[in-house]
Parts: sequence; structure tokens; C-alpha cells
Amino acid sequence: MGPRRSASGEIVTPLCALSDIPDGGARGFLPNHRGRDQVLAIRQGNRVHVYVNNCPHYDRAPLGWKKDAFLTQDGTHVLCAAHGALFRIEDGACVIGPCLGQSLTALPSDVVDGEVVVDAKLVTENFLKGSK
Amino acid sequence: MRIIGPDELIFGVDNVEACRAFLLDYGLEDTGNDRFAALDNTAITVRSKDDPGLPPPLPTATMLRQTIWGVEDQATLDAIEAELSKDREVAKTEDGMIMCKDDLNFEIAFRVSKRVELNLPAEMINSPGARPGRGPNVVGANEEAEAKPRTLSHIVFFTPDIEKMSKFYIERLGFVITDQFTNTGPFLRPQANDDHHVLFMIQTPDYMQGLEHLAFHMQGPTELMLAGSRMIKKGYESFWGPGRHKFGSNWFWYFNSPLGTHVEYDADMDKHDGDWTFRDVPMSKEASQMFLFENVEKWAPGGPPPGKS
Repeated sequence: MGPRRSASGEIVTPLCALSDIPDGGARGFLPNHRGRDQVLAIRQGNRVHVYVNNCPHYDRAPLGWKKDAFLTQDGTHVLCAAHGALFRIEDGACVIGPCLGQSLTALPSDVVDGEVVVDAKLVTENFLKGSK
Repeated sequence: MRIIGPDELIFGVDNVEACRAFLLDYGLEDTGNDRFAALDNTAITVRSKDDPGLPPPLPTATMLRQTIWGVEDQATLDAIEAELSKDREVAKTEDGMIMCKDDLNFEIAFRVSKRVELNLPAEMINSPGARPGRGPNVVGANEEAEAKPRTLSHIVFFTPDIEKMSKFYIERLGFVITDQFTNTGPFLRPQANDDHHVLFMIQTPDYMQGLEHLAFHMQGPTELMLAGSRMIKKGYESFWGPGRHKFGSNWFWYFNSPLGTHVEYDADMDKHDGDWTFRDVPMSKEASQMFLFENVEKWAPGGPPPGKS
């Protein structure tokens, strides 16, 4: 899905339909040339939080342990499957773990007409090099 | 002290079902009672973090609750009990396992090892100038081959006080330094094991204390690649590798896991005895590995370019 102009005029990249993410669940998007999802989107009702799929502990540390497996079982936190760090879903802040005091990098996102969209410029600049 | 190595690791985890699936896919055998064993019966046990029977957690994110070390015999167990009882409380289970904390508050335990002796073939290779490892018509590339972890190889701790921690394992339990990353930590082997390391530690802030990774030995590099490739195919997240370390020479491939620690396949580690003098070099990307690769999608050479015939 390529970039397009939203009703309010911003250039956005759609990730998926809101209904593609189970409520309370998470999914990975924007795979790089190795097939690794570069961002994750977490849905809470009609809100979606999008973060870069990298633990702030290291510069090359994907968060999940399996495709789309990013959250604790109760769905309350993002779990880093490297060393067990927990991050708040609302703002990405690490509450326990090796990256205490740091946060996941958030990607501005919105839900428009049932679609999850993110800033197209950020996507082009950060995640399209080498993607398939 | 005739300590052999880690016999079993006990975890209190967030998602037992995800851990069970992960450990089975990794190649361990479900032996019941939440326990997943390698071919020699060294094992990982995963229980829910709320299980009241578990040793208490560290105040950090680590899900490791206890490291059980396997020793050669009852005499060794008695000697460890006598040594550690000098300055700490040592509890004993009904079946004779002794339990206490190390000097950094990691829960540790010792028992006569439950491992069984393995008698299995090594990876066989054909090398010009040497006698063939495989005879005529024996095929080396078998995608259906079993690739099961043979034995729990080593564990690596994040620890806030490397001096105090290594001193405990060296002076109280007789571990030997085989190599060292300056200001990072030592590679240690116990006296009843000639593997390059069963224990490595990395200096960190106290809020990081915990298990950095655990590793099981595979038959050889090919089996390591096969097992790792199967994990990739099942959608698991590779963290580092495949590659080959310098210290220890072991091939490696690390994966993220729902146990909140990296889980490694390793193969072909160096062995040492008392004649070895340890190396000491600063930690760096170059020192950390001889080479590093990453899995890519499969590909095949073809004939003409696309669209031509």
C-alpha cells in the first residue's frame, strides 16, 4: 500500500484496516528485505499505537519472539523477548528491564475511515530502504 | 569441586503456553511436569510467574528463578554444602538437592547430575587430504534429519558486580577462567567439564541483573543451521547469527524467546585443560565473533534473465 493524501491533507501510508488487528492485540508491519517487521501496531478499541520494532537496549534488537507476538499474555504491556523488558502501551515507556528510563520510538499514527495510517514521510525516510 | 555444568534452569514466565510451544519447536522433549529436556536430560522448566512453588524472583525483568548445577557425586554435593554453609543459609530438598543464593542474590541449587551419558555420532565431513568422514553414497544434506539439542551448554548472566560474582564461582566453587573480555567478564568452566565455558557474565547496572542467554549444544554446524532454519520457518525471531565466536570457537545462532532471554543453539566449542593460559582482550565487535551471517530467503540460480528464453 503506497502513500496517499488523507481527507485532512496529510500524506499518509495505510498499514491495514483497523479490523485486521484484533482488539487488544498487536501486529507487525513494513517488513525489511530480511522479512523482519520494522514497526508494530497495537490496537486498543478504536485507538492504535505504532512503535518501531526495536528495543532501546541495543541498536538491532527486535522486540517479539515470533511473528506478531509482542505483548504480555494479559495484553497490558509490550514484552521484549530479548531480556523481558516491559513497555507501557500508551507511551512506550520501559517500566522494568535493561532499558529502564528509555522508551520505544513512537510513530505518529491515526485511524481514518477504519484504516490505520502512519506519516508517509517517516515511513519513506526510515523503513522503505531495502523493504520488499 | 567436581561440578559438571548447568543441569536445569527454572523459569517463572508470563506466558507458559508460548514458552511450551517455543521450547518444543526449539527441539526439547516434553518430559512432563512443565519440564523440557535435551537428549542428555539436562532441562528447562517453565512455570507461571505466579506459581507459589517457585523460588522468589529478582527485582528485575528476568524470568529466571533458579539455576540448578549438576555435580558428579554425593561427595561433591557434601563438600559444596559444607563450603557454602560457612556464610549463608543452605536449604535441602527431600531428594537431597541443596539450595541457596550466590553472592549476587541469584538463586542457585546443586544436585547429583541427572544427565545421562550420550553416545552419539559427531557431524561427519569429507575433507580433501583427510580420511573421508562419510563413506561412499552417504548423503550429507538431509533436510529431514533430526536436530535435537544434545545438552545444556552454558548460561550468561548480567551482573552488577563482576568482581564479587566471579570471585564466588572461582574461589568458592572452583570454576576456572578460560578467557576474559577486559572490563566485561570472564568465561568460566567448572572442574568436571572441559568445555570452554558453562558460565559467562557481563557487567551491567543493577536494574539489568538477570539471564542474558542460555545455550544448548547441537551435533555440529550443519545441525545448528538446520535447527535455526526451522525456527525461522516457524516465524521465530532471530536475534544474532548464525556465526562463529572467537572465544570458545563455538558456532552460534541466538533467538528471542518468550522466556525473556535469548536462547542459543551452539556447536563445536573448544575444550580446555589445566595447561591452558587464558586470553584477555577488550570486548569489541571484532573480538566477539569470527564471522556473522544472517538468514535470507532461499534462492536458486537460473538460466537466462527473466523474460528471455
